[in-house]
Amino acid sequence: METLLEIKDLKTYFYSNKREIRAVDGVDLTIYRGETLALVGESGSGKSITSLSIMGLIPNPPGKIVSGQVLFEGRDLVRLSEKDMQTIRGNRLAMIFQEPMTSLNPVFTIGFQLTEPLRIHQKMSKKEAEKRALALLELVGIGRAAEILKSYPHQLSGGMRQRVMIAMAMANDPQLLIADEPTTALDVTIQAQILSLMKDLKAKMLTAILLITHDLGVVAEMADRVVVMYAGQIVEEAPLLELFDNPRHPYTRGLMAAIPRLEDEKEHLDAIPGTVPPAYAYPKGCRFAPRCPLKTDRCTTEMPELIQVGKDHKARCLYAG
Amino acid sequence: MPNALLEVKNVSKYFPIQGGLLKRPRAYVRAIERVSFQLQPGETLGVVGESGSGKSTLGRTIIRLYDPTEGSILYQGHDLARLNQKALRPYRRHIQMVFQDPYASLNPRMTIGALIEEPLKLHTKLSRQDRQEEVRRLLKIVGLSPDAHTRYPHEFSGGQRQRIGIARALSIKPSIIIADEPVSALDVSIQAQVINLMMALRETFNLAYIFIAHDLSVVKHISDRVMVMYLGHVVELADKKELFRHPLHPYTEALLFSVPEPNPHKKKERIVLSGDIPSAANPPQGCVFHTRCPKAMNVCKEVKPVWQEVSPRHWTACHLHTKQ
Repeated sequence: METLLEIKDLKTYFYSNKREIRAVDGVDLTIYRGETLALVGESGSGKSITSLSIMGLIPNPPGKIVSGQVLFEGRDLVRLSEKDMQTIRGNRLAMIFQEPMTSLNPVFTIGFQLTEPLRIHQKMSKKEAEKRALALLELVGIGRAAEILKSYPHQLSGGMRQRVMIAMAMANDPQLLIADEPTTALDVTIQAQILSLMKDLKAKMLTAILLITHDLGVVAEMADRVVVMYAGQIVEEAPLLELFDNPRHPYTRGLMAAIPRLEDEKEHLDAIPGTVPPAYAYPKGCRFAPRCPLKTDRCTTEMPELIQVGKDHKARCLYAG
Repeated sequence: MPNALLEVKNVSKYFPIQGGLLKRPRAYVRAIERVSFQLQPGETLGVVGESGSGKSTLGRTIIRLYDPTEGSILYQGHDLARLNQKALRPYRRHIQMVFQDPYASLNPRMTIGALIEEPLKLHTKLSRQDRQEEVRRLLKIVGLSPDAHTRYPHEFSGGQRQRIGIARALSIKPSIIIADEPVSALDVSIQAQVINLMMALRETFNLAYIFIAHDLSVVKHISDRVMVMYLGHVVELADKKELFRHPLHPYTEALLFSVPEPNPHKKKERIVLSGDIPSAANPPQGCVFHTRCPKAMNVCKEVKPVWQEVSPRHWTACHLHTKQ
């Protein structure tokens, strides 16, 4: 497998009220060409900040990438100037967000917003760009494409808006599409439409997808590989089937046991006790220890490394080896 | 059944769309249309549907946050739909509501103690000391420290705030709690904690729940019976197991097949519905689902299907299953 993007020891911190908030705290991650990698975690795990760090979208201040590299096609994105980053963002690297309404500009037509990146990145004429925009809307399964080009975002439904966002992201044939909770705001029947669209596009265009989600159902449906984050760190990484069949970190196991499933009929859910520690006050040692059923004294003093526990399978637990 | 705790009969709620100089209603959004069901003591009825299905409006109409346009809401035989706000007050304590966002529903300037005490002040004759004792007892019941009563809502996490919302609803010993998406804003690990708490409280206090949610797995987990809504209409109602094993209505079927399941070994046949939910201001003629239904027939475009008990305790409104 050919490496597309490699993150090395990424640390993205925020500073507020004299506190240091360690949102992403030493993440190493590789995305291979054409794969779908799911980044799973709960709120505050650092999954969204990881993706915003890749895109160079960390607001500074209060945020700062304090160390690490994001290597993409031979360049370290962390060290690029904003101007150079702009030639990559929306071009080689594209991103779609949870709430398409807030990422579309309400005062411009869909047509204007869809043709803009084509005219900037590919220097197309207005006519060419419009033709391409029509083709893109058809690609994402929008009928009546000509009509949609003339509409404003508020005139479209949530599912339609997400299709438009995907069309926009695909406009310049990106190598990597980052999708941050792309279906979380959508109804299930609409979510099913968008997920099947993303699968089709991936097969057709061979784009790699970094899928950020909290929903293990979406992961099972979409991912080739899975990375689980907790409290700013990667705690487990494995191919899809391996992760579901043989989860090694107690947090991953806890998540799997905590979700109600359509297919079984157990009465009691195995909740994970307690809450995620705040990012300005991580506990010493293993960050999951305060909630872990297998905790020992060693866990509260010694920070576990992310170690190899099987073929392509890593876990950050003193007892996973 | 004569002993129903709550009987909702043909309840509709239309919201006017106002326009023009005189603000006369130009049209109506038919948020819920002739909904009927019964709730037994101690029973959990799950209500599922997508946005715009009317499930939240239904909950809010039952506790009379909205006045129903037509129909009756019988609580132990008394029609709540006909009472004015003052006459309604003694009944309010019997039906309480828990909302999705516990931050928006808790006054940020009040301490947790004051928040939970407030309904006790309104609905009971307890002395100040008794009320405060009761607050500490309730905090303990929902799994919070009794000392939390001096703190403010912002000091708590989402899951803890939901526990506070539940304590508040419980304070005046209701027999029904209407919970509108109570866990959908919570993380998975916390969601399980709150679901377990709600199920334990149901046993302890013999509570009946109307549990409104879009997440089918959660609804399946907690409910005894499940009701499926689409565009203001109830399309199917059955015991949980029956509904999930033998869904009759094509919309229920599609909904079940749309849920991505956390099991990568199970490659599902997908029924992907095309299109979006139509507008409730201008619902389709005939069956409201026919514009998206993969099994639509000619009759569906013209005739509204009848709400029928197709097999014992299994109700649906669909021409495929209509009995003459």
